[in-house]
Amino acid sequence: MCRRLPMTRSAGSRRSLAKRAAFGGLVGLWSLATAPAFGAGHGPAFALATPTLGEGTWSSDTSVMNLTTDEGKAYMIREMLAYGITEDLTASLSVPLAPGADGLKLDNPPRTRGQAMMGGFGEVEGGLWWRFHKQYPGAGQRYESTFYINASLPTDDTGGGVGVGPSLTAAVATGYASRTWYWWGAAGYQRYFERGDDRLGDLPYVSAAVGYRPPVFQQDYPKPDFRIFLEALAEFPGRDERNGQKLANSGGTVVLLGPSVLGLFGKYGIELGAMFPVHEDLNGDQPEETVRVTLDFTVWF
Amino acid sequence: MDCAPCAYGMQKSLLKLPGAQDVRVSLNDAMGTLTLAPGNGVTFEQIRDVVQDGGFKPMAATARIAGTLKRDGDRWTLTTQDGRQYRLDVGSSASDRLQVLSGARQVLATVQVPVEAEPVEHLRVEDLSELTE
Repeated sequence: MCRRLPMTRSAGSRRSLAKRAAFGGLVGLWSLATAPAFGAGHGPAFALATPTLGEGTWSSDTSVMNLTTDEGKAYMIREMLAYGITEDLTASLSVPLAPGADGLKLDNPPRTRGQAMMGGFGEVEGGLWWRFHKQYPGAGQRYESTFYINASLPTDDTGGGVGVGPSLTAAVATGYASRTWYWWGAAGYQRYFERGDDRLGDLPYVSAAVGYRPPVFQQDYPKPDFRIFLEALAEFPGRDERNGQKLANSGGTVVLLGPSVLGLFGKYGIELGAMFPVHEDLNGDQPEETVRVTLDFTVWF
Repeated sequence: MDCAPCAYGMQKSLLKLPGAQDVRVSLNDAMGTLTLAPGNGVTFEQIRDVVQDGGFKPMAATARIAGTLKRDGDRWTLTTQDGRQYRLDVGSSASDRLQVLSGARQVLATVQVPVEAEPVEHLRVEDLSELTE
């Protein structure tokens, strides 16, 4: 937990400060009570969180995700660039780095965004993140809420044999951050539009994450900074439509739970996370997911 | 402010201020320390704007500032080297020091800055000392 800046300092502290103050110079001590959000690499690996970037700040998130079903494995490699237009409004662009590459996808991949902050398999997604609520109960603590609106275009004509159209996603996340504890809850809805007579089922989802930075990891900047998360993600894809007919073997419910670890080193971040299904209720005959793993690298500049 | 990239962003932004010599950020204390060169011309409002544009909220600020003291009745004013004037709010402990130092050519004042004031006109004095070159 962050401590408030003491309003008076010890004589020793004053002497030290005076020693550093140049003649005619000014030394300011600012107690800061909140944090900007610095892209996906700042928060949980799979769940949606509230952070937005500081004004004029860029972030680059490179993610490699493995998704395993009882029929095989798929890999998603994505790059997301984000830019802070203001401290409360961030623009993002997320692109698949190897769209359509042989061996990188399943014939019938599960319907998922993979990571809630980024788009799904083969989708180029651009969006805006608007932090519309923020509240600071004390130094180093904040409650905040962020609204997300994203539009995506497919790079593949079909997914699982169904024509893939563009989509719009809206989501809202709310949560709390401090030096020790974090939590976020979020809900989103991805609406797919038709491609010919086909349409992917819409994808509603909810996510939650709790983060904790143990005292052993609370070393001060610029020393490395670690935290651990427990994340949950529930996805409820609707039935796909082919030639105007709803497909029996599509849609359902998947609930996943798993840990992630985030390491931050100055302007660099690395995060490793895994999620395991704790509940799967899929319509008809579909491959069941067994695990999804992600490794993310983030740079802020 | 809760993680290393927050501290990095704050450090990078504050170092862009004119005359910025050093920025230190403590995540555990939720505090940043900015050292500015003489004659920097930076205002409290500029520092606050940089902090806020980074997505932070300044909760409190303490500054050490050099200038000359002037008395007008029971009001005390500090004039900085670049000509800015601030009215000083003086507690009983600092009042005696003001009397002693009122003839000094330059003083170094430790003050609390009202971070939300627009513009910052009043500073609350915590400590005063004579500044010698």
